[in-house]
Amino acid sequence: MRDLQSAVLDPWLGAILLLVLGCGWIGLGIYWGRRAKNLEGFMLAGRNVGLALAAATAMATWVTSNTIMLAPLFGLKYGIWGMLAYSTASFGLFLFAPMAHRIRALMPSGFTSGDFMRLRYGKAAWTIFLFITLVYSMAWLVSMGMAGGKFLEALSGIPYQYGMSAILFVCVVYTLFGGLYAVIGTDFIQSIIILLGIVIVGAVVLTRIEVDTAYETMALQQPMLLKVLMPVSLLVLFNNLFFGLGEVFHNNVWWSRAFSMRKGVPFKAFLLAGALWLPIPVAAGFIGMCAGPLGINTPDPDMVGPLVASKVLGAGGAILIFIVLFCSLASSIDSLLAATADLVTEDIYRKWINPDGDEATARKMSTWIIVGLGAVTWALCVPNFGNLIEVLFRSGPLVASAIWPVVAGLFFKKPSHLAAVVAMLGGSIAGSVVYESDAWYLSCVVSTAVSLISLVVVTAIKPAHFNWKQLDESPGGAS
Amino acid sequence: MWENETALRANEGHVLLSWEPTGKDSEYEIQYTGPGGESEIRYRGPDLAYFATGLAEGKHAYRVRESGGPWSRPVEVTVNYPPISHVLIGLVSGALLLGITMGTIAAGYRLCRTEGESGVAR
Repeated sequence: MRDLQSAVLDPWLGAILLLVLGCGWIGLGIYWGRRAKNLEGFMLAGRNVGLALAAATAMATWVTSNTIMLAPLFGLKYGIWGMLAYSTASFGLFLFAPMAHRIRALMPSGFTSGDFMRLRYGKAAWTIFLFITLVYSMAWLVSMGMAGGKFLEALSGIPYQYGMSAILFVCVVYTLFGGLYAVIGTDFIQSIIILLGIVIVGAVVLTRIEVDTAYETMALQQPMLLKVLMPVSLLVLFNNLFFGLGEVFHNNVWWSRAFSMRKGVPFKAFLLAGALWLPIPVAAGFIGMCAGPLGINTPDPDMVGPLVASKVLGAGGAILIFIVLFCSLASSIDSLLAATADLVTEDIYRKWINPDGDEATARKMSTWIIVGLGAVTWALCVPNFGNLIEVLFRSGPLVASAIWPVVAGLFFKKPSHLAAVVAMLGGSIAGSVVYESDAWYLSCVVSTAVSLISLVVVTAIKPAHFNWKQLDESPGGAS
Repeated sequence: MWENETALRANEGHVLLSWEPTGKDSEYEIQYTGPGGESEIRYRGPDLAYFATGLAEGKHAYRVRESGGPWSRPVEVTVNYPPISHVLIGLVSGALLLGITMGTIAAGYRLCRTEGESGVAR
């Protein structure tokens, strides 16, 4: 990290916290994982998750290290609009609620978002979709692994490589033993810790800051952070919104949750999760915006959230933010490891490599895939290249291009295989070109718009007439 | 002393400035000069980088020194935001796109609810 001269916690205290939290999550993961008796239990927690656990796991998964670290960074860089921009990611959860209901109804025995693309649009669209989702999932995993290493180094002085390795190891181990049962169980506890922690830190920062003085300081030193018409911030608002929609609509993390929930639960669970998640980035963004008025220098802007919290609250605050960050990292890394392993097992291993293999072999393969994903993530995190925004947001145009093929394919019969292929390719290429120019903050909007136009035009020229029963792969279904 | 180049562009209104250390326990000062010519010290402390954010449009200059030592050459940061007309076009397009997305999901969900779950929306 960039020359922050003093860590707040002693490295030994950091190591002890890491050990206690790590052993705790591994122990709970093994305990809950005993219920995973077969592949469906391991991958989808028996398709019987109730409302409280379902809402908590969706909320905790969406509170990633990026929420705790990037939302304050958005506040620091883009001011009031930046703070609100990050919270627009809650739209992803809100709008996924009706989609999750539909997914559960159309695909009672579905496993992954890849299953939907394969059955709805065929092999070409499925292949493009797998590429998009694997690139995004790896970018998300790497950004979280890097965030873990950075925050441990900043708060406790534990070297980046050690901290990053320890966090990945803990998450791989408990996901390996417990599958989705472990992920959902630990997510429930982690969501409570995260909510309480953010509320406490935000409230204390609010009591330590004099609003009038803070406003005057910002108006003098950082005037654009307070401007209603701060140009880049306003553009970031919609870019982040469509990035969030793309992330949630396409990724198997959310689809596997929809498949795992009891009938009738998904709609309410995702609405509730969005409502619980919404205030968290606002509070975190506010904490980041307060760095200047509090006189806190941010030599590594990625670390502004943990830095402000630990400076304002002292060692106690640093311990609190350590626990909150560890929980937010663990709750997202475990979910992503499990969901991506499911996708690779179901869509690549069972459908491509070994279609005749039995369930026990697939279950064994699934554990090796979790280990492999952890190892690849670790290898990509070691060099500590780029900043967190760069690592994650580069995949934004790709996932935004999948919004319309997913939405239209779930609710309408006419979009064809070709429409989905053209929409994903057109959106990804146009959005990536914009990202590489000076206007990264328009890339997801452009990708979504090009994808929508392509889908509508191709559908108008050559409509399909899809039979919904083809999405049902259960023994009595049409597929 | 600076690790940055002497002329920087910051079209998003923020820039990270960094400098080389001069000694083990050294303290540093950053002096800022705004577009109107006003100067002030913006940072005093041991860090080896300074993040300037929320900068108004125009030219901004920064100098660094070890406390009590001579000032470095200035780094000039130029901020040029996109024109507000471009921003408004972006905002209107984004809002329109969001409206279409929300409307489509709401309409599709409603159709499926009213006509049964087995896929009747066309």
